[in-house]
Amino acid sequence: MKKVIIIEDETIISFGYRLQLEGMGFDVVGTARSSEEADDLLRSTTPDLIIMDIYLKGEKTGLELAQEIHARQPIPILFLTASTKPEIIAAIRELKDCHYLSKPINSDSLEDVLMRFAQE
Amino acid sequence: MPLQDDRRANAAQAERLHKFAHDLRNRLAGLQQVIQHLGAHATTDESKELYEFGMQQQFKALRETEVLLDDLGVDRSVGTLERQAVELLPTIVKAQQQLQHRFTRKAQQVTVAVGAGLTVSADAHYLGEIISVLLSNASKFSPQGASIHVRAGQVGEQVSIEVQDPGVGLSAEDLQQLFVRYAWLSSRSTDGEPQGRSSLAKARQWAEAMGGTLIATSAGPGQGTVFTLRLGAA
Repeated sequence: MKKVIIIEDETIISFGYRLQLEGMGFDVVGTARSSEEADDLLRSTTPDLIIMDIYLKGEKTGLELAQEIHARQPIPILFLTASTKPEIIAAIRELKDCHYLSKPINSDSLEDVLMRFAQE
Repeated sequence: MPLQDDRRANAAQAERLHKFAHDLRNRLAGLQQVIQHLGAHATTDESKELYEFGMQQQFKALRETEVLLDDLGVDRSVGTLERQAVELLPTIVKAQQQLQHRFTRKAQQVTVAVGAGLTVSADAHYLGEIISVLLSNASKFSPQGASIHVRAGQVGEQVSIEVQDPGVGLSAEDLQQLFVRYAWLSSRSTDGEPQGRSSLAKARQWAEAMGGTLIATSAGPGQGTVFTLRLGAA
């Protein structure tokens, strides 16, 4: 079973992702609401996949956090973002092993992307 | 300099509108979670109707947000694409394999009639995304056991890629709205999948960013749909 962590500051949205992920057979091994909580979580857990917002509570953005994570280990990251700014989309594309979906998330699209990760 | 001041004001306005739309989408995403949770437990016709009403209102709010951003010229383009010669058949096969969970669940067959070596001028990532959107859509709006056909061939200096499904089809009104962001159409998915077709608007945006076109035709409700993607041959 693939291990996933969710980094999202909105509790209700994070909870919704967890329900969907668990329904698809993923093991949600942790959630974080800020970049600092995410740092703590990643010190004790090595997931197969990270699901993350771009704008997080805390000092770092999701993009900065992704760069730090990838400097240590190549964990795939799925950004779920409500931003449609071209520079944000371009920045995600410049990162390796990263994908994005636009919020509000269509559960179909989420399943399709997660199944890709599960196959890799 | 008046012109520069105008540009600064426009950039500031665009930034503010991006932030407003971002925050609004986040609020609507939260509401969507609540509506979907209630919908999953809806047992009476009345509660199912309320669920659909809630989803439809959410789509309308999203659509009105996008229309406002369009009207005010706020850039939501995909940026610079990396166009290169991309071989079509492996791209289609990969997308098909990645969506196999859908086809298996609905016992659907996908036939691919695409010549080996046929190449298009495209961004490989976004071409794969468009094919995935079209195959996913075909599965979602086709019944159990349906056959979905993918064909491609060169037409002059372009390559035409067709995805044909025998599904629910589209009315003339739905066809007009099909590629509008967050349009709420009258046609219904066949196995309880989410109703939205918002990915099709993005697929057309990606096709056009690569100098191509994406259109849909349907003889009407119950008559299936054919999506045709045209891109420059490489």
